[in-house]
Order: sequence, then C-alpha cells, then structure tokens
Amino acid sequence: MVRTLALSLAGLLLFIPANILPILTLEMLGQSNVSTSVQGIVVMTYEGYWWMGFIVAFCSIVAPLLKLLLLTGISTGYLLHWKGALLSSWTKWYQHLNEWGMFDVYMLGILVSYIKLRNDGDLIPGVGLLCFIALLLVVSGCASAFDAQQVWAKVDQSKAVKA
Amino acid sequence: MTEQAVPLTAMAAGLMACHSCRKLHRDNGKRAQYCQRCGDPLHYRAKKSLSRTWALCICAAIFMVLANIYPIMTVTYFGKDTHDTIMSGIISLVREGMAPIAAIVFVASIVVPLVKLVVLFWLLLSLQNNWKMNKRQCAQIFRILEFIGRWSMLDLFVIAILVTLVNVGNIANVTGGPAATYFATVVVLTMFAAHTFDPRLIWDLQDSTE
Repeated sequence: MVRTLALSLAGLLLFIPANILPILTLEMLGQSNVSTSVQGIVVMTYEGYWWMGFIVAFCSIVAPLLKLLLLTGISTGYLLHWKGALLSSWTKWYQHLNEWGMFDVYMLGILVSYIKLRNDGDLIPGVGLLCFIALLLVVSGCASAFDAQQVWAKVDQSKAVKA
Repeated sequence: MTEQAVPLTAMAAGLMACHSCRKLHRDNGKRAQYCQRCGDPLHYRAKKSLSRTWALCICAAIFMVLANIYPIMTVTYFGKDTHDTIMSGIISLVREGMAPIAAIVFVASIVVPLVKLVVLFWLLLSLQNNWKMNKRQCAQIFRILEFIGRWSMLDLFVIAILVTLVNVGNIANVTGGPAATYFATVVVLTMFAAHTFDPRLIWDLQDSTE
C-alpha cells in the first residue's frame, strides 16, 4: 500500500507536465506544429466533433487523473486508518473507472502517428513524451501494486472493531 | 476424478457474491439484499442484463455500419481533399509501405469491435435459446472480450494527434470526419455492453457434452 501511495503521488506530479508539454513537433515546409494531448482535444472540439473530443478527453485525461487521485486517497486512507465507508466508496469508483483509463492505448496511438508521419517531415519528440512514458510506467506500476482485497480486508476489520 | 458430475453453481447453493467487493453472502430470502461490507445491492444475476445488452449491441451495430460508411478523416494535400474512411485509411497505409502499422490499425479499428459485437450477439443468442455450450470456453472468451475492448480507441487517438500535427494550411492539413463521432459511440457502447452482460448467466446454460 505504501508503494501504491508513492507511485500515485509520483503519477500526480508527472500528470500536468505530461499533458501540457509538447509530445511531438512536426516541422513541415517551414512550419512547425506542436501536439499535446490537450491540444488534440481542443482542435477536434473546435472543428465541431465535440462528442469525440469529450470521449478522448475522458479516456485519456479525466479517467487516468481520477484513478490517480482515487488511488492516492485510498492508500492514504488505508495507511492512516480512515473510515471504512470512505475507503469502500472510493475503491468501488476506482473499479468502475479501471477500464476507462486508456493511457497505454494513447501511447500506442502516439507511436502509430510517429511512424506514419516519419517520412512526411521532421518529427521531433518533445519533453512531454518523456513525461508521458514515465507517467505510463508509474500508472502501470501503481495499478499492479494496488490490491483491492487488502482494502476490503481493512474495511472488514474496521467494521468488526466498531461492532 | 469423475468429470461427469455437474459443478455446483453459487445460485444452486444459495450463495451470492457482491459484484464490487466479492464478499460471499447467504441468501436470506428478502427481496432486496445488500452487501454487508460495501453496501452494494446483491443479485444472483444482474437484473435485465440480457435486454440491456441486446439494446446496446444493436445500437453499437448500427453505429458501426455508419462509422464505416462515412469518412473518418479528411487529408488535404496541396489543395486536394481526400476523404478517408477507416478501411480506405488502412489501405492507403498499406500502399505507402507501412504494412505493420496498417495491420495494427486494422485489428484495433475493425477486427476488435466486430469480434466483440459478433461474440456478444452469439452469447446472447445462446442464452436466449438455451444452446448447449462449453461453459468454460464461453467464460474465457468473455473475459478476453472485456480485455480487448479498450484498444478500439486507438484510431481516435491517432486522429486527434494527426489533426493537431498536420496543420500547414491548404498544403497539408488533416481534419476529422463524421465517422469519428460514430466510431467513438461504437467503442463506448460496446464497453457498456460488456459491462451490462452478467457473465454468471453463462453458468445457467445447459451442460455441454463437448
């Protein structure tokens, strides 16, 4: 659980730079365009495809952020012996959101775009990409370090103590 | 070990597992029962699981057809507009010599949603008509289905990135198409459909002699 807390805090720290700093820069015919995950969503929404923009935003930004926040909360609550009701509702939300965090799919998407545009111009990976990869590793480590059954055992314990 | 005996299902033994925290409870006969640990409602089988999954699958199938008819991406190259559907985008990737990428996009955008819908329809039909199925295989297939669902989003992420990167006015420009909305809906609907389908229903199938 300590490992979950450490990794989730690291993930939260990495989250903002990964989404704001440029991931890829394409220099083509003298013009350079920068891509961040936030910008991709803004452009799609601006063109009118707001539903797709919303889903991409939810799956690549909102859901992973909520998962990280929930894991931070759950591991803090576990270590500080908070109320069982709080822990159980957070764990339930985490389990609902689990399949909606599509960070690794986004990573593959970046890879596919990189290979696709490689021949069209100068493609320069940015600092954001490093943060992105680090965030991916942290999120994966955090999810695998988190054991929901530990939390449920704790909830049982706190209920037994109360009764 | 005798393999011929029918395994006991939890429902037959009067036991219910909470779908959130997995705690086992004994059926105490009341109409509405709640988990002692996490407070979620307990059911032997999720209510209206079949009808909800049917509805979501049919909607997803309709949107799937729409997503493949309309263009998902418009590439403007030196003033010339090329509207690409999912399939034509994959073919153009193959023509450009990027066959492995084309294979990845093909699997993620066409094979995965199609297989997901086909398998869900097949599971639903077998449950409605009480076909004889190998239950373990059905359960394993369903678990694989839940796992691969999210990878269909790949194409949408690629488009979101391309639209931002390739933006040099009329010389080279990538914009999205209506199929983007439809495809996003397909992915969401299939994920919901896999969620509303209660896999415990598979245990109610007749024993298979396979």
